[in-house]
Amino acid sequence: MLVHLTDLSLASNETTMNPFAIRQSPKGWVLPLSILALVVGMLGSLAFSTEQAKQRTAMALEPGMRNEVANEDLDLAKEVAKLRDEVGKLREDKTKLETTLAEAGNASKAINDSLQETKTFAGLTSLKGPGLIITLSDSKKPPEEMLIMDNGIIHYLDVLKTVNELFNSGAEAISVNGLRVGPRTDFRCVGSVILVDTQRIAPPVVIKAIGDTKTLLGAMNLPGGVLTDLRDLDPEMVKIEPASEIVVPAYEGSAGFKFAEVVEVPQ
Amino acid sequence: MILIPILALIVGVLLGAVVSAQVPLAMAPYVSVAVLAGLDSICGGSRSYLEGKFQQDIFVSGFLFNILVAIFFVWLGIGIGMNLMLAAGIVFGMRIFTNLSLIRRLFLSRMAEQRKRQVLVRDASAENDSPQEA
Repeated sequence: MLVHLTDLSLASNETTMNPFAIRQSPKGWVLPLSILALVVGMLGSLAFSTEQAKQRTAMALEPGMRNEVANEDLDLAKEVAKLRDEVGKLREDKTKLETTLAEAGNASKAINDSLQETKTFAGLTSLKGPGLIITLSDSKKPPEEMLIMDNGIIHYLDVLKTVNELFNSGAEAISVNGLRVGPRTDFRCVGSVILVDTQRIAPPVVIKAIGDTKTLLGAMNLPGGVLTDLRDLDPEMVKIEPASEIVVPAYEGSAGFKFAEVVEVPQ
Repeated sequence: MILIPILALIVGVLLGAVVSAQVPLAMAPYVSVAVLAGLDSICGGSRSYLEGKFQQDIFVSGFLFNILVAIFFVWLGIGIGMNLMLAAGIVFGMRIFTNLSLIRRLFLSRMAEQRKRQVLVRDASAENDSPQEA
């Protein structure tokens, strides 16, 4: 019986052995395989985190972080604020000088009046009046709920379209996050922040418009209007409140001309 | 024994997660192809061990050569504007599948073998016992 058993084990040994096997490495397989597994595992998880980071940067920053980005370079921002104050003060001085000049004689009063009117139209003076305060803020819904991930954030186009629609419905003066929309104001997208002229702003975007409150409200609530898309995505993104008195600051951007010249009107 | 490489793989993944360094973006396609080649080599190595013909030189040279060719493919693909990374990905993916299915078969047949042997041994011992009882 013992002989029978050994025969059996021999037979089974032969069947488990591969017939094509020539040699099994004498040094063993555990070490090389394990080292490779270690390296590959590490590389894999590194590549994985890189891919995730790529997606994260492609996706917009979180609302909180976006403000931080907008507020970085605080020194620079302070300097800009100082310069803006200075510009405002100088323009005020100019107005005062012009007024005193006008007071000197009646003839120049008419000139000054028209000058002040022009300045007001150009947005170089602060204005107050009734109107709307529109707040556009990023959606608080998780991005996964959106069909397109960055739908939930406020883009420069939303701001541009809203401002355009407000002007279209008779707004007389508009400011965006405290920046007056002047004759040369542009809106641009720079990464996750919006540029109004040269100033960086980040959501929530507060648009103040002076004009007929009812007309403005109607324009903003128009079905299929500029804010419909945002409201469809998340009604929380748009907040509109009428106000009886809004103060819109003066335009503080550059006002010089380098290329344009006034065409002389023949007398 | 077979658990050691698996353990090493897990440790490697954790290590990579802990280090939390990031591969530079320009290198990312190369690294991902290298990872695929590595996984393929691991599967191939395990399979050849189960087949009883694991050879260190073939294993190491195969891994290195596969990685080199794959990286060359990716580089060439970026150069000529054609996503050759897909080619490497598909080939390695198919090989991983094949190797894994072979590993599974080898395991299953080995288990069946063992069961058969146990049955035979039990029968043999029963046969052995019966004359004594009689």
